[in-house]
Amino acid sequence: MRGFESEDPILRLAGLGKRFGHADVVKDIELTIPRGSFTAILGPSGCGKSTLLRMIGGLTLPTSGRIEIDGEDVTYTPPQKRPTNTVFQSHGLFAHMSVHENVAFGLSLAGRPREEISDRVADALKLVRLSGFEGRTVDRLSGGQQQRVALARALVMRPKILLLDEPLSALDLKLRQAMQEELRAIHLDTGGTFIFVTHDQAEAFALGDRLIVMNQGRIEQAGPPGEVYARPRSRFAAEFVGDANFLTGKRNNGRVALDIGVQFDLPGPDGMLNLMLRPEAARLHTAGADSREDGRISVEGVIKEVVDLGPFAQCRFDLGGGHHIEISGIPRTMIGEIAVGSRVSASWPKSALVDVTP
Amino acid sequence: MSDASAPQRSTGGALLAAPAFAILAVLFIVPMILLFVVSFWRVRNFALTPDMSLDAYTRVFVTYGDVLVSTMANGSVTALICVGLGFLFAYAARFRAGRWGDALILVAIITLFGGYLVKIYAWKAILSTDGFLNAILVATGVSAEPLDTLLYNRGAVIVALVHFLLPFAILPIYGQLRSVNDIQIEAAHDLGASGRQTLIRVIIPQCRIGLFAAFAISFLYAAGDYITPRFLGGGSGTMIGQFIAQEFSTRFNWPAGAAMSFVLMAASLLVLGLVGILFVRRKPS
Amino acid sequence: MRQFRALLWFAVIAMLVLFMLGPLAIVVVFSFNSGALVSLPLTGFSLDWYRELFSSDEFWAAFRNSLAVAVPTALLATVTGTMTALALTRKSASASVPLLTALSVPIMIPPLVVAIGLVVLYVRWLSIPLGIGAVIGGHLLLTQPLVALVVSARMASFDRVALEAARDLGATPWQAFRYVTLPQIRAALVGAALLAFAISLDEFIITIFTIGSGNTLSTFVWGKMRTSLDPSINAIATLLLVVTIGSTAIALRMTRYRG
Repeated sequence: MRGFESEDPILRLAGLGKRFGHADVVKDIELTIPRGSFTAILGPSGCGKSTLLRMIGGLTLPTSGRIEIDGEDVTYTPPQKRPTNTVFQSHGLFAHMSVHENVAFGLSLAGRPREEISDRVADALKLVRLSGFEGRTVDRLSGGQQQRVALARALVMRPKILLLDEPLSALDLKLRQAMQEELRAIHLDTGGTFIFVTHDQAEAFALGDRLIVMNQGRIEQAGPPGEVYARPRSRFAAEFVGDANFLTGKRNNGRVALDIGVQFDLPGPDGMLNLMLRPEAARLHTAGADSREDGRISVEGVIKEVVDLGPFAQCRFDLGGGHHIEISGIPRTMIGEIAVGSRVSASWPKSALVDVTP
Repeated sequence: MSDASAPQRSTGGALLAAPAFAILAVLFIVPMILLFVVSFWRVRNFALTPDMSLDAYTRVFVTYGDVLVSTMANGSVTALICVGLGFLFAYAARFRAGRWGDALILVAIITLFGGYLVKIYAWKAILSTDGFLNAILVATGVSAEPLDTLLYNRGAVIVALVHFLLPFAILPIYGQLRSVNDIQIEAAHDLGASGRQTLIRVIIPQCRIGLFAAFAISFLYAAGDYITPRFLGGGSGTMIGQFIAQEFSTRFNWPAGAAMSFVLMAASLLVLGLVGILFVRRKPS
Repeated sequence: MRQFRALLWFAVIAMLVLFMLGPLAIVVVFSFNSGALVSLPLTGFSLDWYRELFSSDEFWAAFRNSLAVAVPTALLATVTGTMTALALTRKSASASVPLLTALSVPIMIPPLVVAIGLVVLYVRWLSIPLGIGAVIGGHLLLTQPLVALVVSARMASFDRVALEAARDLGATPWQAFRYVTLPQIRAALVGAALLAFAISLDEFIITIFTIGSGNTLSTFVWGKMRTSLDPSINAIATLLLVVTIGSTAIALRMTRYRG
């Protein structure tokens, strides 16, 4: 799979792989990351995303391939000599040091002058809104504060690439949302290149301006989040970044016949076909409304189940013959008209169908 | 991810363990091999001569067969008493002593190290004819005259060994009793088990490994000891360790000393093996 | 019934504690008793036995030898044991448990056998003179597995991510150990060293076989024990108890060992 092509790449991975024993945890990754981007690597646990991040940071050595940062080959450079820094999932704070000492650790190893260290530590702590916490011991901090110390400790090194390994997964929902906002602001402030790993698609969309979906050690798809959502290239990518309906069928001479009994023209090669439809792309039409607009595909069915989500509702729509689809984003005003068991029609634009045939 | 691996570790990590294992190899494994080789040698005109002889082993079984048996017996009795008292103590510390439990375990740990000779000496002072215990017996009128039978017998040796080894028995049992949680015990009572039934069917089965460890430690040490029987056991001599030391350092019969050492270790392993099988086999009915 | 049972437990525990601590208490008490017999009644407070001990050149020679054995033993065992523990924390339990067990074999077999094995090695094969160095070798066998066990237990709760963070922030492996690992396991190291010191100080069997002609405190006590019931044994025994139990108690505090 190809990653992004970019005018000004800061990171290039070529044929990168990692094998543990007989298991290929990461396979043949080709990827470039543009300078200043905020990239989210999204995938289920065990997909190799953390291993990929650790290889970029030098904490795990690859078994094949090449890593370049700013045009320089760092494939086998030890972590302490790489222009990368990592924010770890379990923070890895130094329990025997104060907040200041934790953040100053890397700079003092680099032998920076004392004034510079204290200035930069102060700046970093200000950035993560922990000014005044310098003298605290880290075990006296809350989980969110500890995570911010870990962030400051990495940021203070001014890494060319900041790596974040599920940095927010240990936090509760409210804190996580607040930290997401802060991370976005810090990214804008520093103008650095951030790569972060997550299994939470909402977080990936909230933070990343680039999205990489990984599965079983490979990149399923890479691109802007909106594009990955709207035009997933595989069933896996489609399902992992959101809810999806899948409609199977056949194509013959550009004429598609779906198993739910609908036919329409859609150019492409002949054969079996699997089309993805986002639940919010379909619209329900209650009795009387004209559902036969141009370019829309229309079906008849029975409402099976309605779930009122507050601002919107979603329903399970039975198309007969054992087929059904989920429809979401139904406006509140319609809830009264779609009683379970009622027969209505639904439609969606042909362009909403995405071909995810393997 | 399953790996928490830092990159350059496999070789560097192994090297860190090298000094300790080098010491183990040179000062323990090599000597044990040498000792084993020597056990097949002979002594001629007070000089060691390399040989492939079983003389030393013959001598062990002919001359010291009964001592070997009594050593195993003494070791087993000591170990059984240690396991019994150790369980009592550990059980009390875990379930009966409440907030004093930690203090009891502290007593066990404190007496664990320190005072091997001191403890033996103390028992001699307590048990000798003009010693502490006799003074009490006479003063309280239990005995009209000081008893000279308290010391220099098998009982004195076992008492002193139990005293020395009890902490070693308590700690592994306590370690396992700690992992029996209170909820299990409440559940047992809730299901109708009496205190005794809970003990036999819930608690003891869960600390079988600790009980065996306690037995093994006490037994190995008691069977291999030679200072206690030599100092408190009197002239008769009932433990093989005394004779190993004697053959080795007084008579300079190294082959005999070496052969006796290996017979002692083999016999000890045999006893532990048998006890181990019993422990493993005894499932609650 | 319930009260009777509680009373019975109390009696059992009291008897056991008395059994464990009583003999040691007697030694301590009689070291301050003026009489020559360890028997009742007590004859009066006196420091004579200590005075006699401290005026003996033999005692001071034994004392110096004991330090010359126990201090290097504690330091060396702490280094080799700690290095082993660090190596083993990187391995899985299935790899580290057999290795730790192998290292512990010398403390599981009779010390007498270890001692005569050492004598055969030193005298017959290496022609190394018996003495302080020979004793240290034997004591290392007994102490390095205990240090490895204590430090391994500490490392089990050590945050390994902190080490990776240190490496990520520019620390070499040595700097990561020096600035992150060491400060956090320092207490366990000191505790393990004290434990090794106490064991070496108290060890008798290997010592008497490999010391050659000199004396350490334990062989000095043995010499006195064999000749007669010399009450100055009470004094030296008390000193040994104070040092070994004291260093063990401090070690326990530092390693936070419980059971």
